[in-house]
Amino acid sequence: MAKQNFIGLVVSQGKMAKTVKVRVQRKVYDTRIHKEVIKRKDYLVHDEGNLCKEGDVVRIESIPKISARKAFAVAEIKVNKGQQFALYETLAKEKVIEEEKQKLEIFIKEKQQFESVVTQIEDLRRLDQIVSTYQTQPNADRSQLLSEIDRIKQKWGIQSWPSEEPILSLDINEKEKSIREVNLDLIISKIMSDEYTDDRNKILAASTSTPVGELKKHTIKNIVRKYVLNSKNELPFEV
Amino acid sequence: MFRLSARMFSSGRIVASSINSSSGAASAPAKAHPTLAAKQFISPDASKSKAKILRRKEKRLKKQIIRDVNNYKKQQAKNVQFQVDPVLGEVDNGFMNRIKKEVENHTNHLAYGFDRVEFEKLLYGAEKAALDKSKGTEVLNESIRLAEERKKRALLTILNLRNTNKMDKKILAIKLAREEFQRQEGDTASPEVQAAILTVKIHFGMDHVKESPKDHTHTEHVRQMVQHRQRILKYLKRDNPEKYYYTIAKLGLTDDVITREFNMGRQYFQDFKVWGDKQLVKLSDKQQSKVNKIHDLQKRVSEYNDLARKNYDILQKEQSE
Repeated sequence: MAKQNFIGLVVSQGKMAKTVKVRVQRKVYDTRIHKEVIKRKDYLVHDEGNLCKEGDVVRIESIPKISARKAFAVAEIKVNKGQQFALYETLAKEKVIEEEKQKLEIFIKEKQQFESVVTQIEDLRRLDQIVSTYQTQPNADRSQLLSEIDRIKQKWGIQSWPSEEPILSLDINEKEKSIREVNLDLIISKIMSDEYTDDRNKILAASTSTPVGELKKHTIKNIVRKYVLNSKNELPFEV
Repeated sequence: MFRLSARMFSSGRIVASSINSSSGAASAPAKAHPTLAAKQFISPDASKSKAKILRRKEKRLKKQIIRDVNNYKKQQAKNVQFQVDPVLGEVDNGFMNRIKKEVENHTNHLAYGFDRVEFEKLLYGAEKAALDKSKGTEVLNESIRLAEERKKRALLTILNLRNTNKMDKKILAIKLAREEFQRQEGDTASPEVQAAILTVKIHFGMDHVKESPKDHTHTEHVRQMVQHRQRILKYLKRDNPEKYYYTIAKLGLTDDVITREFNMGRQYFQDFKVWGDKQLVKLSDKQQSKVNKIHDLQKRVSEYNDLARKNYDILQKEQSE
């Protein structure tokens, strides 16, 4: 005869040596309500080697009784969810410690960056001063002033002073790069007007399968907006 | 009665922590079983009846010790404490410490979301523009420079994080937390980001709760946020367990804090001493006597352990001789 077999969930582990508690569910037909109901039973199961973790799904097999409540042993681990979770937990802790170190480095780097910008600005200010003294005071020590100008220019890679080139990059300037983004509202309103109905319909047909008549106005606007923001797409007019 | 005990220990309080710490440090080594505390040393010249009395005493005490130790174990299994504070998490959590420091760091951050580096650059540009515009003599230029310097100082004072409000600091903290957890640029709603933002809000909220215990509405809001965070993290555990364990490790929480039932009620405030050593939950005489019983039990068990260790040492010495 085949040995008795159950599949169950490990609900408790680590409290007893070489023993886990496994919950087995089975359906029992209730004659009073004429319906199958779920019944649960917890077994204490022998786990040689303490492999199971809480949350694992295991198959248990009957063995000769080894203690008052233990008559089953773990035959195989079907889903090692619990073990995986335990692994994730240990890995996560290591990762967090590693990240904390990195964050400290980033903090120091940002601080240095800030200080370098401040010194650059101070140097530029000094440069301005030197240039003005050079121009206004003819009896100053010219060679010394020139050498200082050269030093600052070399330090920050400046070609000429005063220069037309941007020396300090600002976030505001970067945003102005895309003309479409700046004039987005204007462009969209232009495409949405009756003048460009055909172009608009072409854009809509390319992006959706629903007929144009069924689309709501805000949906059309969103599609047009997406189209305009992608710089690869061509616009029906010059910006 | 069972329900009562369940409520009494619902927030995982530490029963008689002082006793715990004293016995915890001096807990008996593994070899010294607590039953050794019952050991009666019968002197060889003791009379027969005396020896008999002592032997019987030892037997009786042994039984008592086993019963007490088992009862104590049962109590401990029933009232499992939370591994960390379920609201604030670990005491020394790297992530929250860093965020709190950044918020107070007034050299790198300015109020109202201004960037310090951009600020320096812009003001230099403004000064230069003013100088170019005037094109005057050295004296005039100097006065312009001084005026710009004064303007900069005034702006720095206005925009200093010391002079801003709590809300502004909270916004900065939330922004930093979001940037640490986001999956990609502009991610504001993934579960881990939501949990991180809620954690920041809870920490800020608890500062206020500590300051003003009578602001019940606010306490209620914080309580709701704690529950909300629990719900979100429960979802994340189902959805992406790897990320879940990473998130809780980073936020200084543990799995039991998320999966077990918790309510930030008076019991919590009392157990974790949010408003000092105040009794907030009144116990009836019956409940109090039950708590005292557990206290006594704990005390007795720790005494057994101490005595067992002493007896163990004596026995070891005798054996070696």
